[in-house]
Amino acid sequence: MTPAESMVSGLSKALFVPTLIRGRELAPANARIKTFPGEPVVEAVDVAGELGTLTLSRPEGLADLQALPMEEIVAFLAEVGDALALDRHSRIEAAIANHRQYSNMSERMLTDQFKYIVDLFSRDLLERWIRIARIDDRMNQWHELAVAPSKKPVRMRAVGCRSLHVIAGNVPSIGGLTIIRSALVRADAIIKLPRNDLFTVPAIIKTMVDVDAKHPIVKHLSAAYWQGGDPEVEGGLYNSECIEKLVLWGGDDATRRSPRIGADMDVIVFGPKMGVAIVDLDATSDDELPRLAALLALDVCELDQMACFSPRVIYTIVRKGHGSVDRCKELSRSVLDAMERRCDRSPLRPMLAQCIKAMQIGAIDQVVFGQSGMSPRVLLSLDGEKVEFVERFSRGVVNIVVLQSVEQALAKISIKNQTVAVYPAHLKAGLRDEIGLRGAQRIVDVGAAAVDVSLPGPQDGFDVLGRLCRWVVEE
Amino acid sequence: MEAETDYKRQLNHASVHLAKLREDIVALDRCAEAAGIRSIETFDDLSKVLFPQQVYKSYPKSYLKPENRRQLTQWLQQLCAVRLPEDELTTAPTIDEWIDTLANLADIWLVHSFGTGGKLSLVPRARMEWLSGAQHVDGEIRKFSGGLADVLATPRPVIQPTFEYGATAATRAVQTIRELSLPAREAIYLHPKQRRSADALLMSRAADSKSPLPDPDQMSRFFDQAKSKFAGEDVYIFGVWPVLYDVASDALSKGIHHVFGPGSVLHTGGGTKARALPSDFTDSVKKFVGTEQVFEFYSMTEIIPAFPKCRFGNYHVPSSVVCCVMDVASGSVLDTSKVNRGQFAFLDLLASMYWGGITTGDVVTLSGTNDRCDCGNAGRYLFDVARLDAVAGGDDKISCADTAPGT
Repeated sequence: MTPAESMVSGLSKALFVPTLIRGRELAPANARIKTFPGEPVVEAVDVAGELGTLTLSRPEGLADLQALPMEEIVAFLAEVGDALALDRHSRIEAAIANHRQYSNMSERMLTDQFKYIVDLFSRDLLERWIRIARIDDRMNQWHELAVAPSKKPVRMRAVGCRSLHVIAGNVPSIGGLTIIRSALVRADAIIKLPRNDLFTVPAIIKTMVDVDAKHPIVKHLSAAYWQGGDPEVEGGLYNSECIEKLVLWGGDDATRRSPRIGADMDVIVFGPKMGVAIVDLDATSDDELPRLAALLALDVCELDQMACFSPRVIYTIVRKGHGSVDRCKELSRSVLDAMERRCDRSPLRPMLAQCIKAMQIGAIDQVVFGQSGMSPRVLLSLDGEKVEFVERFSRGVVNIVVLQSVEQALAKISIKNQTVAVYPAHLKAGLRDEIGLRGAQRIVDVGAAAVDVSLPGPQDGFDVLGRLCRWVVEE
Repeated sequence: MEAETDYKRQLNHASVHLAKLREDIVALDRCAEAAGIRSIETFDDLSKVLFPQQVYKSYPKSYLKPENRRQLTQWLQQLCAVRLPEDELTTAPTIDEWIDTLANLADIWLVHSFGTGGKLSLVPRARMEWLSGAQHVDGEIRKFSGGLADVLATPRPVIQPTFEYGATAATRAVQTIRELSLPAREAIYLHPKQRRSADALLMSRAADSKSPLPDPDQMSRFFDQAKSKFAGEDVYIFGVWPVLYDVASDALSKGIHHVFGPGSVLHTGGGTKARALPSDFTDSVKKFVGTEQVFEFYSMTEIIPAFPKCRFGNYHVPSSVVCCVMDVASGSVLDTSKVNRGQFAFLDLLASMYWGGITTGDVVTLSGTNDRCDCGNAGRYLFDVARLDAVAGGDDKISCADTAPGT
């Protein structure tokens, strides 16, 4: 840091990011991670010299994990879940404390996320997941697929791969989800920590080490931080000889600094995505407005609006007529009221505050609801266009865009929209084909964007567990 | 103590400026009313009446359609201190003609940006404000060259590696300098008799986020032409570093250097446009042109004067600009008495057709009350200019939600 940066940040005590390679924690060393004004100083081990142990040089190195029965995988993960819940060594507590120093997530959401991570490791959930996704059937035995033209049977099975996960840090449970998915498909997983969540995955892995440091799942799991694009690290890692599956969360975010990604690896990309809602206000009575507003607030405020399913825009259909603008304003006020009950009031981040202030000063067809400089806020656009800074929304900021027909709303849907929430719910069946055709990947009732995330099902339009495996065919 | 009195005087000027302009600029009055500010006593008061830079592009994209010219005019009206000819502007078939109507009927030489994301910043600047801006630049060049250089009094041919006409800041600035220079001087342009069309920019740049730089081969041919016309003469060149460096490096590799006279003036700004240039790039450009008179400025569309860069790499704040930095995380004004790094905000007291009080998208380090630059020039100065989006922590932070860096 320059003296000026250090002066502005006002923080001098460094946080140390653990590097965990196959059950072994590397001794602290002072490789400083580039930080920014207002953020704590962070240090991590330079992993450029550890690539030999970080990677598995041959695929057959996975034989121990391939031989592990699914019951044992579940038993181990469930035991880890119990250990995470007990947190005897305060690993989770410390991760939350560290997270708090640089996270934009509210205290309540942060605590809820870590509870959710514990839930992900529950035996009941894991067993249901395996059953619904037919993981064991598909992945632990040769499975007769079809009959070839020669009338001879064709069989296939899935094999775990050596994978590298460049995960996102906007939601802490992504780390837990990645560890579980990798274990279920018996993969060797290296997790590259994002600078916006450096501590969740190490806390989980250290807890796994507490349970059984020699367990095959632990032996095939590593986590480290390096600056994205570091040629010393990625030059050796991004190589199909040692990585078969490269999982990139956040698309461009993960690849911007990494020109080394070639076409010889299977690149699996999550996002970046954004949720939206479609509300037919004409099909909603005045009495229903408070309930609708409460459901919208539930979707918007969940996970502090940091998730890929979180709605930022509510396309609201009002056929033109007397009082239509007033009804949209009424909806805006109701959504604001509902969000104020659900979200913690917090200062807007400066660039977002600036964009909203600019809109209040200069815009003609837009109305802003809520307290100046604070979230939650509702931005009502009467001109049929979403505001240009929706990607800056967080912690309860939503744009209600007034449209005149369902067709206009459908025209706004794109491949960027992972989740589309619909109200009233009975419209969903009639719209799902049209919404799917336009690129969206998930259609839900308003109010259910966060509550019913289907873990065994596809995410962002593809079968995640299937993509993480290598499919071998016997003909 | 002297500097403190200086601040009080500046804030007093700011207060008078606010009281005067809010009578004419509807959006400013709205902003001050909402903030409950009647007078400016402190930098904190000032920060509450600053416009975010985005105000000058706060119209919806649909206003750019020909059928919505009236809405676009009404939007601009609330940001402008004089009455606009709404009916005449409403019938303008293109944005270029709308801009020309503003100039012809309201004497507003509007300046626009390069259309990042399909929208232009539109700042209604009076013709007189362009003239005072050019005089200011001339004064700064005289001061920082120790009286050895100027851009208005000495007749030098103009070499402008861009369009002859248009309403971007560079084009407007050179148009003004030529207008003020007596005797009239010869000029050559990369695109003579052509216009940097606002409509064409909007069409071509909807998804683009970088300002367009011309093709290096075309630029080399243009400088060959300039050389054949003005070799050995003192010239005035207005260009950005990457363009000038590419031309210089190509010429130097062919053994071509000291092409123009030693009294040539090179006027530049805008940094390196995110290009990684070698550490000695300025030396290469100087050697190619054959002059030591290189003047770099920090500026933006919303400000009339410009901040000259001294030989110590600091940009000096013009006397008409009241400025401060704000904490990147909280947005609160940082102590003006000390050196501080934060989001740069200013009020340009020269701007009276529009409100020149702006919270910028830049992060800078701004000197404190008693700091003096080693170059000997008095007043505050800034250095280490960076974009807020880059500083706010986008680097290596990953999100599966479609979020802006640092969100």
